[in-house]
Amino acid sequence: MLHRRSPWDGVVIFVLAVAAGIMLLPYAWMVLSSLKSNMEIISGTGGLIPSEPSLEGYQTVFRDAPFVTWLFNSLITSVIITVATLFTSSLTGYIFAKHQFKGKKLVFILILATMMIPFQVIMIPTYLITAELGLVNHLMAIVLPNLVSSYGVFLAKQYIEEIPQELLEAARMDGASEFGLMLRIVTPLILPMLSALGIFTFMNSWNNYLWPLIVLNDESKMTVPLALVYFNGTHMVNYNVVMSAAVLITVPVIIVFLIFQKQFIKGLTMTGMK
Amino acid sequence: MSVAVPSNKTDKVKLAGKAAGLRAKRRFITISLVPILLLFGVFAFLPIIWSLGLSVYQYDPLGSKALFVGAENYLRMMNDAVFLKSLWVTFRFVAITVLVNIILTLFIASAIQRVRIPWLKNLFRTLFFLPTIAPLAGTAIVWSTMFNYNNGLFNIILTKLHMTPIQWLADPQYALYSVILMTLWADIGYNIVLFIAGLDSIPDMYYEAARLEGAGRWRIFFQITLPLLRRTLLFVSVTTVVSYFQAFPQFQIMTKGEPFNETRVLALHIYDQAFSSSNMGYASAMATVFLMIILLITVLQLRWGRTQWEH
Amino acid sequence: MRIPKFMLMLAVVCMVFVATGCTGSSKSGDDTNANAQGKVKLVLWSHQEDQIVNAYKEIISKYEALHPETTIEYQTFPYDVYNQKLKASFSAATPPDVAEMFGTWVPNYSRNDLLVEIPDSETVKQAYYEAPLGGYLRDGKLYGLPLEYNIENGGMLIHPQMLKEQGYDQPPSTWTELVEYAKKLTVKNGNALQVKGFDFVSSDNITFTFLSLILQQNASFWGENEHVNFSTSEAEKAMSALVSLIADDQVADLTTFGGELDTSDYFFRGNSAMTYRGPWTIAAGLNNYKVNDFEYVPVPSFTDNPPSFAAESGWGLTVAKQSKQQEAALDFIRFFSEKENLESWNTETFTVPAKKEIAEDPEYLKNNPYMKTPLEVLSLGQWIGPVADRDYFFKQVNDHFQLMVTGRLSVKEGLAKIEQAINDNQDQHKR
Repeated sequence: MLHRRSPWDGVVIFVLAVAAGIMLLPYAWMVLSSLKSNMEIISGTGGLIPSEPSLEGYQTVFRDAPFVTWLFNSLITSVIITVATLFTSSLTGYIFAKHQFKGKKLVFILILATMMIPFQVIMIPTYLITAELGLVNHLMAIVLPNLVSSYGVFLAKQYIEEIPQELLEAARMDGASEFGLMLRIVTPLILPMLSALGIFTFMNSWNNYLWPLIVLNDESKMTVPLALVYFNGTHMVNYNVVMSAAVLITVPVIIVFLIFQKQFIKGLTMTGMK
Repeated sequence: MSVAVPSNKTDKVKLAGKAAGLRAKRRFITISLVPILLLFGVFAFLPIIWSLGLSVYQYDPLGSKALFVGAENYLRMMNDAVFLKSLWVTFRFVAITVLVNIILTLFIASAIQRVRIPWLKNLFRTLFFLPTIAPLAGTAIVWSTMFNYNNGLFNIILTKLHMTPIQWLADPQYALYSVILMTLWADIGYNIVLFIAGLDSIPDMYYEAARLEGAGRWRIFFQITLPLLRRTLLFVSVTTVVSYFQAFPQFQIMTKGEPFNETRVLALHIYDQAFSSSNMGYASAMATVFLMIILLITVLQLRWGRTQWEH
Repeated sequence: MRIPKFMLMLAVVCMVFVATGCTGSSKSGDDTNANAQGKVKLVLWSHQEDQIVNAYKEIISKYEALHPETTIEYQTFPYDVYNQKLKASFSAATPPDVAEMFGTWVPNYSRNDLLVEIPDSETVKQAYYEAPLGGYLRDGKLYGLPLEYNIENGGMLIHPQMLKEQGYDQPPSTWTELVEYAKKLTVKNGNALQVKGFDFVSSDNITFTFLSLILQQNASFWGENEHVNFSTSEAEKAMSALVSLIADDQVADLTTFGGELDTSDYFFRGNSAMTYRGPWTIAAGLNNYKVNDFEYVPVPSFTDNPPSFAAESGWGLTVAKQSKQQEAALDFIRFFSEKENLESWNTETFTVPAKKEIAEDPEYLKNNPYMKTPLEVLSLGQWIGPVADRDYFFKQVNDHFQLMVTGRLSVKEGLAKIEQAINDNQDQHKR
């Protein structure tokens, strides 16, 4: 190896350790604040460390917040969106990669073009359409516009194009239907790409804030990010309560991330998705 | 839309089985593509066209009728001080945040890549990446309390250092920078990971050759690493610019565009105009301009990237 | 292999949730429909504020107990997004059956025929004061029932102990005294203010105080054609007085403006001796901060005239025309507005009654001794007038006020800019 141990390595590690410490500071703040008591916060004299750690904040969260419902809503919508996106993307990608039909190029370019559109641009009409469909204040309103992903189609097409035609022809000879072909031959071959797409689709919908803010009203239908903001509205003064909720929401996310860390990082570098 | 398969009139003699196969294929394409294209149509194509159309109307969603005003919404923008300000704020936010982000992430990524102890390298990468997975809305709430004037983390630190506390989010001088700070914390992880991958893909032999020639650390970085990283760099800068242009939750939650519209980015302004002030037509016109700006900048970036490539 | 296992898990999880999810989300369907057993379901919306939410819940459960066939689904929203949510829901034809609205917002809805007219308007409106009614009236017809008399002016929170320490046994009785007190009461800590002498720097009170000071000089701030007129000498005098309180006398500052906390929060924490704020903040002091070392006293007039003030029409209940349960919804707001119920709502939320019989009821004052001051000034309130976009109006005054205080604009320039911006906006909304 060319890299010999040099004093530089120590310096680098030290600098990184300091930087990582700074990165962790907000987490420390979140946890410490969540352990403060109402009185300590109201007196406004508190420092960083709670003088008398208390679980008041957590108690209030469990009393006031339909916590499990929020997690459930987020989970259900994100899972449906993810599964559907994986399915529609590989299906469309397969057709665009391996089939011919009139206007294919045009349609594909149109789909690609939507990739560039910021959500703010289509937010107003999308809202009006959703209202027209009678989906306002419905979890379906979160799901429906996100069942397809132009980026997913693009990725799937790129990857499926690399599958040799002979493989498909051979399977067709054996009498496989197109659908079965896609499911049994194509999908396994693009599995790494699908898992990357899946992870980021899931994350994006889990973290989505603007669209739920517009279409959801009912506290019992809210997804986690939105619910947290609403909850913040009623507990502005006693921020220990909101911090407790934030801790409770962050912990499962971190655990899931730590479990699937490798896939996350691999997926990110493979697709470059955000 | 019409679906067709390549015609093969020449060999009618071909087996009926082949024709059946073609029919099955055609049916497969139709059945699968129609619902998917319908979804794209309703939730992507239609809204874009609608948005363009709406931008030439004055439309209050509470009223039943829309008034055709032609280009008036677009002309109004040019004299709208708040719009011009928000345009300026958006550019400032994007320029500063992207620049700092790329320099910082490149620096951190090179540092992490130098770490030769695998578990430590992984640990660092994880720590920097962690904030990106939390919902930005939640992060914004936590940071709001950190920026609090009376008992927020930052002012506690300043007081400990015997400095005057700062109005992080309410002082027009600091507000935008406070949001930038939070944004950077929340998503430098992405680019760090991408840069590490980019750096990892540079073969060691380049470095060895350079070192044999006696090149110094900085020269190696600027003459070997940076040029070889161009692909990643281009990709990272395009996606980062686009995503910062659309930044929304942190502004809506932390500052609401205040003080004096110093943090009123375009994305927030469009939202406010559409949903608070009921100027949906005007908001659509702004959204159209917003789209043009993003497209133009992306195209410029890509073109610039390509000329760099050929060098 | 790891990935397939992950995918398999994902798939299993999905299946479970899709299965349960379908039933879960379809259940939440037509909220407004009465279902088969003749049961009625009403959706009620209000903004979020601890006391107000609790007071609503009490009346809702009382109503439900009396009307077992009716269930009321109560949904609340942070104030910041409430206005947007209301607009969005009405424009999408999916409004709640009963919507709490701020009086100033109502004309937008009543003009577009989105609200149900209250039956027998003529007699009903006799029971209310004029200022809280203004926004709910259109062509003499009533489009909602006000719950409160929204007063941001006329009274202020004071810490008597802080006044005593400076040798003041009585609250100030003239404007000159007020300024003098404020200067004395201000405690500085280096450059920062530790205790503000007289704090009015909140997004409501800057504007209201300015408007009231104009009214107290017997002038008006409305010109022709729903335009405001701030180019009078009275307006200039009023604004100069406010600017100099911050810029010259430094009895308050801009540091807490635009933060998350209200000026009353700082008052209850002891960071201010006198704070100009509506009586609704008393609830927070008693319940959140558990303090009672304060009083609520009248703010003296700027001139020798009586201390008149501008008031918006405050919170009230409306029924959406889109509602499929109009009758039930009307019945609910009528029930809500019965003296006994509304009085308990007003008492609990520390809001000033909009209904005359409640304000005149000695029982109300007995339960709410803090309300003495607001009740005494009720007759001096004037409706703020046809403000088209309330948030925009107030923001213009507040933003320019800050520029004037920091010396970046003179008072004259500032007022001219405010006037121009507001009138442009008023015109925008006329078409």
